[in-house]
Amino acid sequence: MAQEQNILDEVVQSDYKYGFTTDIEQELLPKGLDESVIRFISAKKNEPEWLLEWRLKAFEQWKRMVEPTWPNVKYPRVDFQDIIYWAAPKKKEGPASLDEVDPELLATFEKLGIPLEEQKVLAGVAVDVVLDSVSVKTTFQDKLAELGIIFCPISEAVANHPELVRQYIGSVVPTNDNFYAALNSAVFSDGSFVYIPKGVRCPIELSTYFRINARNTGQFERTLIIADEGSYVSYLEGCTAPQRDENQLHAAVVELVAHRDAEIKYSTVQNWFPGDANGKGGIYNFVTKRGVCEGRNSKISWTQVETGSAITWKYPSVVLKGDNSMGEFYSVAVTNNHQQADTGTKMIHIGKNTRSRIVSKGISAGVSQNSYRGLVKILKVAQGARNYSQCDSLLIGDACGAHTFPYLEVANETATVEHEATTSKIGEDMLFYCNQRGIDTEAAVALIVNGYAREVLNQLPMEFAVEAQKLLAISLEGSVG
Amino acid sequence: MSSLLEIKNLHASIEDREILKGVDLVVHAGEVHAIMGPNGSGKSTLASVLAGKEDYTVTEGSILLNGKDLMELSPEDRSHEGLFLAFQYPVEIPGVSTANFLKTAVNEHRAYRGDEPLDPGAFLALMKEKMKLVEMDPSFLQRSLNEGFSGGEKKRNEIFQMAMLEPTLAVLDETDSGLDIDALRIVAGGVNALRTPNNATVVITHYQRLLDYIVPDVVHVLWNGRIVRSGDKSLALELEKRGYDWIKNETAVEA
Amino acid sequence: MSTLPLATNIQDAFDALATAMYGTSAEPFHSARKAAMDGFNERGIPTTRHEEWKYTNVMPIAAKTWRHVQNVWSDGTITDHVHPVPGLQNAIGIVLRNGIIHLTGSTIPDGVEIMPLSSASVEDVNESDLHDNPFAVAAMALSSEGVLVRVADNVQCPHTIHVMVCGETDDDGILLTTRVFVSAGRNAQVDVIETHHTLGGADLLSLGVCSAVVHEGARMSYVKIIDDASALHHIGQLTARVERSGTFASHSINLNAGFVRNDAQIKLAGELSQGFLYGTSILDGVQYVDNHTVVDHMVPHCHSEELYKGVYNGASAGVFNGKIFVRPQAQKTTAYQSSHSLLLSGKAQVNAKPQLEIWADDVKCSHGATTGQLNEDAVFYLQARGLERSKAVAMLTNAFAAEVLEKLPHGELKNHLLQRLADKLGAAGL
Repeated sequence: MAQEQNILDEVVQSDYKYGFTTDIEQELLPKGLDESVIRFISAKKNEPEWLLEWRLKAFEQWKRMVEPTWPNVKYPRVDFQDIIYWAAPKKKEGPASLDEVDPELLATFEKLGIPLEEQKVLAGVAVDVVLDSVSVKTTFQDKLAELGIIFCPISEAVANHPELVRQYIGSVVPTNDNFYAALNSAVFSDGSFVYIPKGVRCPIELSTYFRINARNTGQFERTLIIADEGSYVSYLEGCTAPQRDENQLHAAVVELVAHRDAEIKYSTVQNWFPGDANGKGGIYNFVTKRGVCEGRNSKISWTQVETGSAITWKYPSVVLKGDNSMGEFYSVAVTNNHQQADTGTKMIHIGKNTRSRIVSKGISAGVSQNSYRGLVKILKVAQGARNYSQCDSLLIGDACGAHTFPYLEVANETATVEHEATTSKIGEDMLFYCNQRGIDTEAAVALIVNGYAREVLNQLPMEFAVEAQKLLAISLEGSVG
Repeated sequence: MSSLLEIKNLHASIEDREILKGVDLVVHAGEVHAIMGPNGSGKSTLASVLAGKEDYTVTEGSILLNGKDLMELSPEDRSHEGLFLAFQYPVEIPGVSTANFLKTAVNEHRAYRGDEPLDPGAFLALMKEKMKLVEMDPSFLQRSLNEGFSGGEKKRNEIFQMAMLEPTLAVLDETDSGLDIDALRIVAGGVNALRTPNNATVVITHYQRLLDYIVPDVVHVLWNGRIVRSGDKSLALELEKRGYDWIKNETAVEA
Repeated sequence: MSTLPLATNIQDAFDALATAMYGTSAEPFHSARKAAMDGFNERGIPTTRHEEWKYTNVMPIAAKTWRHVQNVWSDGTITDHVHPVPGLQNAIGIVLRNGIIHLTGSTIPDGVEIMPLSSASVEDVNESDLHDNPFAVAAMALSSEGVLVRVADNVQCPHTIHVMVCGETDDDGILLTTRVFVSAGRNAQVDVIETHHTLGGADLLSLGVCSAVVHEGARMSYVKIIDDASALHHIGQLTARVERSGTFASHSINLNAGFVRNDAQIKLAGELSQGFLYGTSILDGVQYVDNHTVVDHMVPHCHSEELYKGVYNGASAGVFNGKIFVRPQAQKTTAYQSSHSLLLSGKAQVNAKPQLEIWADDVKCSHGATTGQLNEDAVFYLQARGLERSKAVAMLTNAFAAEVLEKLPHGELKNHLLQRLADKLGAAGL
C-alpha cells in the first residue's frame, strides 16, 4: 500500500531523538587491552589486591576464549584492541553538590529529559547516574542508609563493603561464564551495587541511567544486587545514547541474588542508538544478566523493553535453586531498519516446585531480524517444576524476519512445561477500523503495538510504563505492513 | 434543505469486478434512509466505499459529504469530516482497551478541529454518559476492544462509539445481523436517541425487522449495483411480504 | 582425535566399493557417491557440540565396528518371505536383505515402475536436494545399489509399497545402507511404508536416505515404522519436494529399537501444496528416539501441519527438533506445529526445540510444545464418572498416544499399531 510505504519511509528518515554528544573534558587511556590496562583501571580505583587478582584471572580466561558465533546476528568483527577501556570525566576536587558538577553534563541530562534532582525527588526515585564509567551523583543515600540499604556505585562498595562485594561478585556470573562476561570482569569500570538487608522492603524504586558518551569507549558496567532474607527491591535501568558513526560495544554484567523469601524485580528500558536507516553505527549490546533464587520462596522477575541497539545479545536468566522459588521474564523487543536482536531467557529449574513464566513479544519492522532464544531446563532433582512460555512475533512489512528458538529440556517426569508461539501481522482490517474512527495509520500502529505488548508493559512500574509506551511508538512510527 | 450526502453515478469495483454500477443517492439532514437489497447486491460495498476502504476502486462518479469531495480524503479524514461506519463485523484489537481506543479516536477528532484533548476526568464522564444509551456496563471500557465480546455486545459497542464521535452521517452496515430482539431494541434505541435535525442515518439491512425500530423516511432497493427503486417505509413492508424477486423481475422488464 | 571405528568402516567400505566399481565409474551415480563420500569426510561423525546433535550422542554407535554389506539387485523373486507387518499382505514388497534387493508380494500394476537405481537415468533422480545429515550422506556414498519407484501421471497405485530393510547376522554388527527414490507423477497417488528388522542376534546399523518428489496434484504418504528390537539402530533422512497442489504426509512411528534418529524434511515448492508431519514414539527401557523435522515454505499459499507425540517410560529418552521456515516470498502461509510428551518415569527424559523462522509477514504460524503428565482435571473427570484412577490414567494415556496414529491412511495397519500401542502401555501398567 502506497500510503503505508510513505509512512515507512518517513520513519526510516526520523532521526534518533537523543543523538548528540557532550563535550566534557575526559581522561582517556589509549586504545587497546593488556595487563597494564587492567592494572591501571584497578589502581585508578584504589582497588584492593584481591580484586586486581580477580580481574587478571578473568583476563587470562578471556584471552583463551572466542567470541560466540551462535546468535542469529551478523556484524563486522569487533577489534578489541581498538577500544578505549578507561574514560572518566575529570574529577574536580570533591563535587559535593550539583553546582560543582560540570554544567555541560547537567545540560546533557537536561536534553535527555532526565530529571536529576527535584523532579526525581518529587517522583520518589533515587538516581545513581553513570556517565561513561564513573558515578557522578547519588541521591537518597542517606534515607536508604537509615534502613540499612546500600545503594552506591560498585567502586564505592568495594571500598566500603569489601566483604559483601567479595562474597557475591562473580557468584552468579563466573568470570569464565562467557566471552563478554570474562571481558567485563577484567575491565569493568563501574556500575551499581545494591544490598537490601533482612526483612527490609525498599520503599522506592531504585533507578540508574546509563549513557554511553565517549567516542570509541566500550562500556563495561557491572551491577550487583543482593536481596537478603525476606526483603524486596525493584530496580529500574534505562538507557539512551548519543548518536555515533562508529559501532560501540557494551558488555555489561548484572548479577542478582535473592535469598529466602526475597524478591527482586529488575526492569529495563533500553533505547540505545540503533544505527541509522542504512545500518551504519549503533550500539552492540552484549549483556550477561542472571539472577539466582538462592533461598526458598524467593522470586526474581526480569522485565525488558528493548527498542535500541544495532545488535542485541541478551538473555536475562534465573537459576531457580531454592524450593518454591519463581522466575519471570517479560520482554518486548522491537527491531526496525537494520537492527538485529537475539534475546530471550534461561530458566534453570533445580529446586522443588519451582515455577517460571516467560512472556516474549517480538516486533520486527524494516529489514530487521528479531530472534527469541530461550532455554527451559528442568533438572532431574526439580520435582514438581512448572514452566509456561508464550512467545509471540509481530511482523510489520515484508522485509523483516522473526525467529523463535526455544530449547525445552525436561529430565523430571513430574515437571510441566508448556510453550506456545504465534506469528502475526497487523491486519489491514484492524488498521481500516482505526482509520474509520478517525485514527491515522501511524497512531493506529502505535495503539495496536502497545496493545500487543500490554502484558509486558503492565509489569513495569508506572513511570517506566509511560516512557516505554512512547518508545514503542517512536521506534515503530508508521512502519506498517 | 441542503443535501448532507450526495452520491452521483458511483461505480466501484474490486479486483476488476464491478460491484457498484451507477449509484445515485441524496440524503438530507434530519433524514433516515434505509438501503435494502438481497445478498450480493452491493450494499456492504457501498458502505465500504463511503468509508474509503482501499480494496475498492472507484472508477466513476462522485461522493459529496457536506459539499466536500470524499474521494479526496483518507479514511480517517472522512471520519473527521463526520462520517461514521458501524461495521458489520467489528474488528477485535487485543490488548487495546475500549477506553484507550476511544480516547485516541476522540482526541484525533478534536485535534482535526483544532481543539485541545479532553482531560481524563471529562472524558470518563462523557463515556459513562454515552454508555447508558446502549445499556453497556462500564466494565467494558477496561476490556480489550471487541475481544471476547458477544455479537450483541460488539454491535452495542459500535453504537456507543457513534455516540462518542457524534457523526453527521452514520452508516449502519447490517447492524441488526445476529442480534436477538432485546439487543436489537437497545441498538435501535441508541440510534434514535442520537438523531438530531443536523445529522442523518443510512441504515443498510437485509430485513425489514430493524426498520420497525428505526423508522426510515426513505427506503431504497439496491440490486445489481444500482438503486432500482425508492419509496417510503411501506416499500420495506412490501419487500418483507413479497421478497425481492418481484423487484428483480420488474427491473429486468424495465431494462 | 583418533578416527572413530565407524568412520573407518565407512571409508573402507567406500574404498572397497570404488574398487568393485572399477570400470563402471562412468556410471552416473558413482560421481554422486564420490561427492557424498567427500561430504561425509567433511562433516565427520557429529558430536553433541553440533547444534543438530546437541542432545543425541552417537559415540556409542560410532565407537563400535560395523561390517558394511554392499547392495546388489536380484531379479529372482523370493517366495519364502513372510511379511512381518500385519495389514501389508497385499503390499508390493521391496526387500533389502543383507543388501540383496528382491521384489516380492503383489504384482506391480501398470503405470508403476520399480527399478534398480543403476539402470535409472540421471533425470529420474533429483540429487539437488541436499541431505545434510552426515549418516544420510554416508548412506548415499555407500549405496552400491538403490531403488527407484516411479508412479506415472494420473496413476493411483492400488497397493502400498513396502520397503523392508533386514539385517541377518549372528556375529558382527552389520551396517546396511539404503537409497530410495519415490516419484509420484502429476495427479498420481502412492503410499509407501518403510520398516527395519534384525534377523539373527547381532546388532544392525541401518542408514537410509529417501528422496521423494510429489508432482503437481499428486498425493504421497510415507510411513516409517520402527518396531523391532534393541539390536536395531537406525539413522535415516527423508526429504520430500512437493509441487503445486501436491500433498505429502510423513509418519514416523517408533515403538521398539535401540536407537533411532529420523530426519524428515518437506519442501513445499509449489503453490497450494500441503505437507503433514506426524510422529508417535512409545518408548521404554533404554530406547532412544530423536525426531528432527523441517518444513520449508518456499512459495505462497501453502499449508503445513505437524503433530508429534511421545510417551516415555523406563529410562527412555526422546528428542523433538522441529523447524518451520517461511521464506520471504511465501505469503499466506499457514503452518502449525505441536509436540507433546508424557513422561511416565523418573528416569525418562525429553528435549524439545520447536523452532520458527519467519521472513514473510502475512502468515499464520504457531507452535506449541508441552512436556509433563496427563491433565489432572481430565483424570478427575473420569474418576468422577466412576472409573478407577489407574483405568482413567490408562484410558487417557492411550487416547493421548493414539491421536497421531489415527491419522494413518491404512486401516488394518492402523488397527495393528493401535493394538501394539495398547500392549506396550498395558505392559507399563497402563
